[in-house]
Amino acid sequence: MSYYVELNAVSKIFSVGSSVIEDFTNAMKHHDTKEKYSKEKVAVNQVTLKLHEGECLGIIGRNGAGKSTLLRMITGITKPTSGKIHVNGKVTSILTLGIGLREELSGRENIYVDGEINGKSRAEVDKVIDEVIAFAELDKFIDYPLRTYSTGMKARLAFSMITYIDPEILIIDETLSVGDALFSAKATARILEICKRGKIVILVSHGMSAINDICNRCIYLKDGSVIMDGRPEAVTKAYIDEVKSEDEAALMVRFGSHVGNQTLVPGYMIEKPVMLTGETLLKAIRIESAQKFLIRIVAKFPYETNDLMCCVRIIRLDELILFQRDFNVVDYFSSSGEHCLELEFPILHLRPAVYRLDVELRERSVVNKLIYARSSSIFEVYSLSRPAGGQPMLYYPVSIKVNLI
Amino acid sequence: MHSNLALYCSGVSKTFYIQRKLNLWSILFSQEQKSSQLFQALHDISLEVPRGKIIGILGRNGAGKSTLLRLLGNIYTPTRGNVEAFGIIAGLFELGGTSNPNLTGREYAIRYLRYMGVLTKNLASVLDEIKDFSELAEAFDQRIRTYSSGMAARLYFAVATAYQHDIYLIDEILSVGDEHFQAKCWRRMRTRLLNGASGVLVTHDWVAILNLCETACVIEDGTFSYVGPSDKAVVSYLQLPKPIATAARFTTELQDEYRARSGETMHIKVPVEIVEPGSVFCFLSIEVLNIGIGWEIIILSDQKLVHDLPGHYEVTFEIANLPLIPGTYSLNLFLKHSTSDKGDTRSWTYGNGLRLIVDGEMSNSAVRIPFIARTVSREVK
Repeated sequence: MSYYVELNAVSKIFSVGSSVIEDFTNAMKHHDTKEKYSKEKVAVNQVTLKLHEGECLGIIGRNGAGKSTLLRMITGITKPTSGKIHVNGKVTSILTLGIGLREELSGRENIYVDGEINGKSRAEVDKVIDEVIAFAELDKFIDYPLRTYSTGMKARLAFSMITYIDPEILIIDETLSVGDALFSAKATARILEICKRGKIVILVSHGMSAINDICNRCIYLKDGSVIMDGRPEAVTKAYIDEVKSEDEAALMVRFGSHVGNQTLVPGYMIEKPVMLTGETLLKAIRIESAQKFLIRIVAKFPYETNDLMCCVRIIRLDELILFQRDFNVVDYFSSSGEHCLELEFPILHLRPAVYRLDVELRERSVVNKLIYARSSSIFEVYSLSRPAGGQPMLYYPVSIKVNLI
Repeated sequence: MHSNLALYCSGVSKTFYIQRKLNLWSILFSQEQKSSQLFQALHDISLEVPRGKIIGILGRNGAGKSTLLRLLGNIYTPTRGNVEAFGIIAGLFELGGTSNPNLTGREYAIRYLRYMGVLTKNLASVLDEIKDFSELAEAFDQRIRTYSSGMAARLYFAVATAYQHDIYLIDEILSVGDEHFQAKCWRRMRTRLLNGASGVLVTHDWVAILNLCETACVIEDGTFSYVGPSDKAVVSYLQLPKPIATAARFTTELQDEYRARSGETMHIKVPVEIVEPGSVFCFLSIEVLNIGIGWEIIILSDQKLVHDLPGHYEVTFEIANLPLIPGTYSLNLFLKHSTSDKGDTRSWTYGNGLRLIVDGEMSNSAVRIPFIARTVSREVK
């Protein structure tokens, strides 16, 4: 007999009223009709999934994507509104921390009670109890009542006892993030061991590294539907990219209000800067990292004076200024508009991200600088190759030589 | 007298009675009461939180972090010592422990804000702001018990930080929610801090401590084992095993401090010894560590093969037109041995980091990017 979990077009729809009174009036109104409440939330939408022995499934998705609801249905805590779930094997789950633990009993007593619930005899629990206690690192606390435990200690106890009571299908919701770094490393190793013995593990986490380390399969849930299913590395990358692009889209909207040209004193103006890579004019404002990058700035002003400065800034989305220079307008521009300033970055070292380019025409004075005109635009740097390890601020070349001494 | 302090505690201890059986009979008549065990969660803790600063507290599970935060927030009374706060405290204790799940998000927010003394005329705008920040949309008018844990976390954070309070007590909050929401929480905490708020952040996420706190404490078994600059606190908390460095190592001639000039070519010569045969790779990173503001890698080199055979080598890192502005940087060197984990590392996280001091002309940008400026005729295609 092999263990499996099979979900067939499973959906879960919650009806949501906003108050007790509304729920009540809804129930009164609709009790004789087949019609359901007007407000519904589809938490899980037509999910079909089959898990085989030895699979460790990671589930990722934004908050509210239906991850927890899906787990609850597999566990059997709630029933699906439609669809079928077949589970072969006993499901053990750590869904919400501390649920199922009895506050008045000591840690040790809790382990015995849980063992009994999971169909183990006292003798069987006796065999593993020392390991459980050692794993949970509770020391003297193991004989104290559970209500004296901190959240992290409860999490450790719950995790330890469940993984040692030899689960067939193990479901874990976000528990690994509660323990500290040392404990979560141990927990990861423990889960891998369970997977190796051919058991099924389902894990929900916001920690992408945990998913990549532990799981051999991963699904991405969005608005209750599975939108991606595959190797964890590929799925987590797609998820992170999407979260980032949504993030950036939101920031672009915020930046949108800054973007544009503005004349503050009549007669002064900065045209939208022209950006080029090498010799080609950029149509889209996307620049490949480590290429030649040119910015051409055209300004209009009524007469040439030493008092006028052109300030150019490149700003990262988190407002960090990466480039800032002031240029004497008379040196680079002519009031006829015939000449303009060209900035060349022989190799663009900025790491892939969205940046803002601000150009200002302003008075030279140090205090209370009067701004005559400004212009802001956005550009994006991308890279086809990503360096291993961290994401440095700059992709700056370092040459390394080795000599024998 | 404490005009520059927002919150302080001195000589605070907290002892809990561990009662094995909690029933009326045993409380009234049992002999066990007298012999019931004591558990000292905190022992003689003194902490001062200056105005406008966030103090970080790092510690493993069960070290007493949450107990300390609750003492500071007046949820527990100390067994000994005293706690005093100068200002209104907004506590974000273990998320959501305090709310009635039958309230809707909006009702919860209204209750909280009224309790905090927000005037009715301001209420509507603050509520809109909370709804917007928490991204709950229509769920804002649904009951909290229908929320997922992440949605609830978003609500609690948005509500607790919607208003500028004097003191924030934060327990692990920044680790809740997805990356997108975390980034928003960061930005908000920073704004509150800039506007003069103070606080205590309890966490085991050391990057958060580096980014928000200048000073941090490490708590172990109810006492502070380290109090000081947050980078040193992180080193003390991480207690990373020292690199064994028997297979390949940086030799003792390695300098602790290197100097370079901004905009000029930088050479760093590193003596390396390979002891056991095997491919040894060397690389470096230059990081900026402004505690309380941020920690970021600026330059990360590729991994370069030093050699396969034992011997003494000199590795030279060369960076042309050094793009760093004047200041002190953390220089980290790594030696990886292909067949053994006994390589060597010099990094601030191990407490053996090197310093790179860059001199030169000051700049008002974060880095110095090489460029050429010229004037061109606008007709150029």
